[in-house]
Amino acid sequence: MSDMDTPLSLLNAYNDGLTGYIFDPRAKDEFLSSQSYPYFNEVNIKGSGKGKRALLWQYAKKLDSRCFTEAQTTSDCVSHGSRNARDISRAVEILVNKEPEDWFQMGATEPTYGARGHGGDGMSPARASTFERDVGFLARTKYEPVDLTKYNGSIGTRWGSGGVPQAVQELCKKNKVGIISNVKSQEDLMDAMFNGYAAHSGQYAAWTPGSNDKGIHGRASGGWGHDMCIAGYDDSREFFPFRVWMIQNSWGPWNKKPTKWPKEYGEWPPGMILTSADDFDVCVSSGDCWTYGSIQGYPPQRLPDYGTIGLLNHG
Amino acid sequence: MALAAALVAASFVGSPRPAATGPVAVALQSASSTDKAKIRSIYGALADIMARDTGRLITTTAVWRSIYSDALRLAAGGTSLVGRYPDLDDAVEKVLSEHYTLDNLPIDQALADKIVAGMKTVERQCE
Repeated sequence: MSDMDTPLSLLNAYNDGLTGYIFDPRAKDEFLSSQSYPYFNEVNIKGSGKGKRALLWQYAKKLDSRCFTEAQTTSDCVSHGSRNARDISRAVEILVNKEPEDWFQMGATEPTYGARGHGGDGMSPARASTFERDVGFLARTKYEPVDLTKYNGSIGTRWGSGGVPQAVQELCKKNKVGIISNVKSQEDLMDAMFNGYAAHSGQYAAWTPGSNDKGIHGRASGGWGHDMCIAGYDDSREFFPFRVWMIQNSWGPWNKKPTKWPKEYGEWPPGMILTSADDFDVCVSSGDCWTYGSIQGYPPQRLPDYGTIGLLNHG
Repeated sequence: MALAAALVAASFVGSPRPAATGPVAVALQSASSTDKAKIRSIYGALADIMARDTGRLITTTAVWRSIYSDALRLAAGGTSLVGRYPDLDDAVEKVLSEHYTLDNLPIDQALADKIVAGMKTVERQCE
């Protein structure tokens, strides 16, 4: 899979039937039955996302400009989708919820993909969820048993058949995803995202790299067995007469900026798909759409100063 | 009895307040009473805010740092206070460091008390 080193080669590989996302109903059932709240259906916030907008990816970008720049080089899209969702939710917890955690580094993908349970291509999102909830995750940094400073798709690929090494699993246990819930409708997903829970989903669907007559990315014929991060939505109807969703792909700059990208959305992250609710629906109806929350991140570290420096002396 | 009362009263009325000491007091040695009063009121208000919250809304020392910095920007930024007392920033930081650390920690009652004590010490040193 070393030839998948450009956005075009990734697009071609998925168009040609590369298996990145695996629908595994058994793994999904096992995961859901082990959850207190298997489905995202929070009564207290029901309907809170309707008519609103949540551009959640901006929180992660604010903390780390490298977010969403990593391009996969093998069929590990599920680990990229889940990592991106994890990073976004973690950024919201830090910046919006003011949780006493540090960003530290963006997340790593390799341990999650290494936990796919086989040595072949692709992964079930439910397996990724099980690993990240029960074992945990790591960051883009150097650990004693493995250097994860830079993405290396071959690491997760190699771990697939034998499983993630025990020493790496022990490190993962310091950081876990507390709540992972399956989403059954766009309405529930809007509620989740408006309240700061990012998501990722696996599905068989493809999008065009260019814009359609509505100025956004439309669906393409055929389908990718692919998992991507759901990074935002806009149901305000302020810029479009319909709801739009933002999906962050993990292929690098594989597509073009939508011709009708509103400046109010901020900078367009290369690779992001802007699509209509109709074209997006497959991401939820696939049954493999997962929200991430209550992420046990990195312990607080030291402040640079108490907050006085530069304010009384230099203005 | 009247004499005793008069003596007690005289002991309070007549004695001068002890001069403020400490890093902030040193940094403000040349300050006018108006400037000292301004700075004193800022830190007195900050102490009150933390004393009333005790970690309910201001959840961590990182959040507190942000609120404290914003308050300073709003209260002192753009006024003649800024830059007039070159060692004041460091002096305030030194006083605060004697009460709580730079660790980003959740604020509980005990930590809130320490932050309040730090702010009140700065306030006192402005007298």
